[in-house]
Amino acid sequence: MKYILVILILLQFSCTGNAPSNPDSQFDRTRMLDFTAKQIIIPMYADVLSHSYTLDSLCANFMLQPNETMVIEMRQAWRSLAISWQYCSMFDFGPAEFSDGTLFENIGIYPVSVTKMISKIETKDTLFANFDRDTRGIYAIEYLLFNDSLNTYKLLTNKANNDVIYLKKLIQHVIIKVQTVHNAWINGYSQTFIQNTGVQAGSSISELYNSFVHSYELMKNYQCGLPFGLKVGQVSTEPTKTEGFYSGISTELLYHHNQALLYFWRGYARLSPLSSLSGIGFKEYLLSIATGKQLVEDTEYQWEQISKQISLLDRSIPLSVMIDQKMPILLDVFTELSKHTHFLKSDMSSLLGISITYTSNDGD
Amino acid sequence: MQFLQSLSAPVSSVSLGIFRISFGALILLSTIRFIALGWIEEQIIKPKIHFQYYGFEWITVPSAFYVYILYSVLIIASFCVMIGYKYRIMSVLLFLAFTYTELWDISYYLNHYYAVSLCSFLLCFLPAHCIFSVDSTSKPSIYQALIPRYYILLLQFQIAIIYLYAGIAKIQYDWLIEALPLSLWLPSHGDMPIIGNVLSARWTAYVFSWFGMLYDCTIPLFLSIQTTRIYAYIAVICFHTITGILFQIGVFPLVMIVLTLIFFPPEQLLQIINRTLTVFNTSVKVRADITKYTSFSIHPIIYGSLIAYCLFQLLFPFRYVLYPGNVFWTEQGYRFGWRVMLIEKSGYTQFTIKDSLTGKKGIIDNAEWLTDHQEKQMSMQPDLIVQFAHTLSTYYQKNGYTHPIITADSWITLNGRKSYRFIDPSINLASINDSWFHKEWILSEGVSK
Repeated sequence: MKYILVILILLQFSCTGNAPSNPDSQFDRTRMLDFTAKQIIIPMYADVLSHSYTLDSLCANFMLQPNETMVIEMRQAWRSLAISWQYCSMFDFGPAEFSDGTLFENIGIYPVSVTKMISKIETKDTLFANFDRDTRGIYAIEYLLFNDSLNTYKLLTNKANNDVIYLKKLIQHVIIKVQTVHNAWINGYSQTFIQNTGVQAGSSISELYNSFVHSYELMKNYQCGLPFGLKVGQVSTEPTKTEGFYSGISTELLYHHNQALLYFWRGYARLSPLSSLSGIGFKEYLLSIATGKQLVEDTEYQWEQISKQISLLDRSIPLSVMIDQKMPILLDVFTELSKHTHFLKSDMSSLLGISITYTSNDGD
Repeated sequence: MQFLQSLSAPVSSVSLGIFRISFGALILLSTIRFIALGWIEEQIIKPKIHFQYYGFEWITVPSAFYVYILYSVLIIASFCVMIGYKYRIMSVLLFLAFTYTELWDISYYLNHYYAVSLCSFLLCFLPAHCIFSVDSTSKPSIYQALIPRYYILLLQFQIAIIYLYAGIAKIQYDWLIEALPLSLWLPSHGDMPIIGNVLSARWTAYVFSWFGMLYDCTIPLFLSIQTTRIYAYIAVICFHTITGILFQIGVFPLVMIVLTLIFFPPEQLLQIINRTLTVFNTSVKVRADITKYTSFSIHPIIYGSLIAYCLFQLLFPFRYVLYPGNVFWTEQGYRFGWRVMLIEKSGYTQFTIKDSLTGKKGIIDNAEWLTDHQEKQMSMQPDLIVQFAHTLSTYYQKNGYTHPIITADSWITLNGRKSYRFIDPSINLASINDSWFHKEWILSEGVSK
């Protein structure tokens, strides 16, 4: 009875007080998840898949009639695929978690191991049932397509050579993996995803958040830090470790990866036919929290600084070239990226009460 | 003298026996749960490094085989304690095995693990097998219907301390005036059916905060008073069930629901048990052997030890007052203080290593060393930051950085406020030795942007 009395007194006290109502009560996580699944994730997977199909059919045509034009077309198709992948790679959870690793681990690993790839091509090992993840995926395709200049292009010398066969298999492997994920999303997983509205470990928001932060860290540490030679143990810069080294579009890819993360945070649906610039994402979620405005302002400001630094880079010049010529500008990009990490990695999870571990464990 | 006499006055051993059974069952269940959830692999075997307890650096994680052996020992010991078989050895084994596994990694420290360690420690000294046990059945000389009162008082004191200190820790500005962190946590459950809207309302956080504080501060008292006991225990069950549903706190609610049973007088406990057992057409009867012990005396050494133990429990959680700054921010003197579900804290720390001779510099990718959980804990606890810096220093001294200087770009957000720098970025963490003294290189909240 005493407790009931205490509760009643407190209820009375707090109801008559001037405490502002928490805007969070209006935030609808189901709406955010619905938008993310239907307007962002599914269209993005469909886009990656469509570019993969294009590349596959170009490759099939090339196998029938190898010529320079076809190579140029395949290269263009690959560029589109790699750019599309930047907007998709952050959703590396749920159906993207295969028994042999995630989708990213299966098709997004760079740099590839040329030695291992050559060995696999020679032995016609195209099963991909191993942990040599640096011999397959989008960047293995890139190596085969862009490694040689057009006039010495190996693929053109013999239409039946092992390289072409390996290339075709690589493309098909990408298709199978992406198709599996895409199918799962359109055949039921999106519903599961939308209905799992909590914030605990394993919830959709937690999966999205963790995958998003992981993707940001990959951009900072592997798209930039590693090739820039900033990682512990490196004795010099390693331009060959840039993403898109062989195609020379590493700067372009960095630009798009940053855009992808920013779009997602703002809740922009890049490919949605409904709207390109309106939606619901973490930004709106944060704004719904009483103290979220400050963090949104800080995050937006820092993202502006990053975008500003990246815009100073000429996207037609690869990072691997800039590493030798314009290192200070690249270091500025990295510095701005580093400054941003805590906004995303700690402040946001704290404010939204999201579990930042993938697995559950007790707390107190 | 009167006080001493009252401490050693004979009381029924039923409460102690039931406490032993429930405690053993609790550890048994939680150990099986721990294994079933795959946490041995996840928390003990998978991590590349483990964070060690200050003073217990000699305790390291053995190979996976021995880890599983130890958990098997824990299962056997808790089962034996539950049934009261070879209790004297098994209770010691339970304490040692449980505490040993807890000492493997401080990043997994939890108050309720500490509570379990303390209770299992106390049980090593108490003849909790004197009733309702295999031992007392097979060896009648072990049977005791009466025990000195301080056996029960000691356990009650321990549980009371947990609640009371958890309540005192809540008497602070953020908790009571800002309803933080509950006003951050509760709205995230806004999607719950029926009560979702209520949980999202700001006043709910205030109600929960104030009620939580009042509950923790007063529940030991209400559990001790006969007229309020049963209502207080219902409150215990409701309170811990609600927190168990709302927050990811695992077996903690169950731990408290079980441990608080010690506040019930033996007759009442027997009554409750027998009422339950009528369903199965059976009942528990206690043999009287009042002739055997009519009074007890306390040996001065035991008396001294009791005082020392209680003083330690009373004072140790308050050691934080010896350190400058906000304990929630600095975490100096934070652990072992029953600060349960008290703050929302998160951090990010990026380490840079530089060779002072060659000038070679590199950034550490924490993920290459730590699990998500370890990284999260390390980022907000200064002693773990130092420990990790030392691990890095030792490793890289042999791998290309003979004279390492390790600095940290460290940021913390407390109770949803803006992040501020946590560690002096100019300090060489490799040269710092952890100690009980104040860590001067911790910056105050809000000092550095």
